[in-house]
Amino acid sequence: MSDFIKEFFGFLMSHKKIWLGPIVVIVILIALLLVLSEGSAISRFIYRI
Amino acid sequence: MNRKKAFIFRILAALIPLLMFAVLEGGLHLVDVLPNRDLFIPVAADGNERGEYLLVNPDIGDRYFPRNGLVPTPLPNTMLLKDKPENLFRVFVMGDSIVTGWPYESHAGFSFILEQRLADALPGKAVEVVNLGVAAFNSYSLLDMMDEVLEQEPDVILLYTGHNEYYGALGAASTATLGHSRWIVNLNLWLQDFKTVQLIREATYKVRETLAANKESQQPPTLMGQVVGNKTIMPGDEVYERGRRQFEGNLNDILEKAREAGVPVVISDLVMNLRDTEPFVSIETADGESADRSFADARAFEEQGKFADARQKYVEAKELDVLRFRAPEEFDQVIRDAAQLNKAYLVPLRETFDRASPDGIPGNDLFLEHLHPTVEGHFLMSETFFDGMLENALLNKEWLTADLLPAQYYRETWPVTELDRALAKIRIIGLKDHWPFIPENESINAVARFNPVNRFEELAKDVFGDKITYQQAQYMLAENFIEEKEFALAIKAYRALSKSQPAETAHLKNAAFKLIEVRQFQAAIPFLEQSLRLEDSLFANKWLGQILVNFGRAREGLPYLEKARQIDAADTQVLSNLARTYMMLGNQEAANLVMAELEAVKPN
Repeated sequence: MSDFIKEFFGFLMSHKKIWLGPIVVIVILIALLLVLSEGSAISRFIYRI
Repeated sequence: MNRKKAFIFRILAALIPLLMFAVLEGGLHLVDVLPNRDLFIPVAADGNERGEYLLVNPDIGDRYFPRNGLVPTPLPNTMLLKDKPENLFRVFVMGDSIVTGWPYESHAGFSFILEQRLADALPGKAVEVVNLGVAAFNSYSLLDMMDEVLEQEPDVILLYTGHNEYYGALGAASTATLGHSRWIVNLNLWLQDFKTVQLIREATYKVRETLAANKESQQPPTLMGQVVGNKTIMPGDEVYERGRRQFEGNLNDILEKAREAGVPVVISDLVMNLRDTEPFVSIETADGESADRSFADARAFEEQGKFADARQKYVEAKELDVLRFRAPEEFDQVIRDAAQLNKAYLVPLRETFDRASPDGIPGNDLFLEHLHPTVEGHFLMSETFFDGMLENALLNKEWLTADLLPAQYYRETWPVTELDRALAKIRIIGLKDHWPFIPENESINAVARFNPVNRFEELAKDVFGDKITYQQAQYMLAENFIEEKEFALAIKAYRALSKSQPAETAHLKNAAFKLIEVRQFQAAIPFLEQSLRLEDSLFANKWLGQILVNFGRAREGLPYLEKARQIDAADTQVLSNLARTYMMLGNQEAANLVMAELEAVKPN
């Protein structure tokens, strides 16, 4: 079992793109979605309560 | 490494991002590092046996508004019981600033009048009307909140929405560069429920704040006029249609969610000022029509006494007004269709307003500016929604009192004071001192120049300028009225005060104390009773007991005096009144015992 894990970690270290790539891409996509899809033209017209 | 193993490793590696997000999401739920974005936040019990409450999140606007501008808030201290008791009739009222009652203090808003009317109509029920109105909220925000609202097991939801579809939060004419598709906006809102996404959002804010700080000195602030210049919405153009589709889609989703949860929704069509709101921006169409021309025609028809034609032209002027702060006519059809499709209850607010307006054209009689109703308008709204609930059997007959109070009773007794009206007037003056009522950058500081003509306006101006609070102003007025022996006006001011902060027992006890001082005992009773519903105090028990006994209602007064004795067994006033009460009731033995207690506390 420990050999399997060692081998798997070795695989991860040598194939970072497989798992790190999606993380980076998803974070960038979410950040872009958040930045680009928020906004309001009314902010100066909000009634102060 | 053989092929099979390599394949398994690849699969496992591909699952690592998911695992990491799951761990991060779980971890962020455990640690309290991000702002709470839930609609309802638990509030600790305050030890007076009222149980645990949920507070409507004061930062809920943060979900829908960028932080670089004003972020609107719900009415302060809006709470509901965390665990809904069997006997509670719970109503949520959802919408925008109109639902909050702006520019009045909240208690003048229709939901608060309705709450009282429901409480009177359902004497065996506890009634809780939760106001979820927030300025500039629209169908996106309401849809996003819907699941959390339904979790609270409402008995009825009341909905008034449609005017903010273009310029409200994430609306069709917002400055968002990506979110013009309804599904992208809703995807964005759905994603923001995840803590991981909230973390990314916080990080992007930090980056943007840093960049903005660097840019500030180089870039002048954007003129709203420029923004609006790009956002004029001609009838039927792309933005106009987008707004309509957005409203239609979101409203149907809202009503469908409620239907699936088995919660009845009462929704109304939309009302607005037609007669006395000149078009904000008038641009001639290809057909040679313009809002200004239609408005002038409407005025001319009105002068000729042709009111049906005038109304039609006023509506046309509103439709052609390319700054769409008032909903287009076809939104009413969207509401009607969505209500029918999803079995929601439609109430005819528009017809009610037309009927209550001179010549059937709503104007300044019912509106303070283009949208926000006057007190009279709020009464009409509360009556229309109440009648809608009643007629559609949403108020169970078994719960209903046989003696329903008429709408007129609330119009005559609801505590909207001259101070409330003056404050609303000044807030409207402040509003109209800015775009779009006047050109950008032409503010004349109208509120500062406003000369009060009476003490109500003087106090209202001080409240507006944050020199005193609204509550302080009402106190001052009430005490003035007491000195002038204008007790009815003093009582109204005290009632307004207690309605403005209904959970604050100090207002109720203070009102009772002042009224007792001037021997207005009958008037003090409701304040004492109300304070006892919130807090079992010596003061309220003692005085309510004494007043009832003095009015010859010894049997009713006795439990209060007994309670007062339990709270303070050494209060000689309580003991002597208690002994007297037992004597009045013919219980000499109990009277003697209390007299003995009195002797022990206060020997001759």
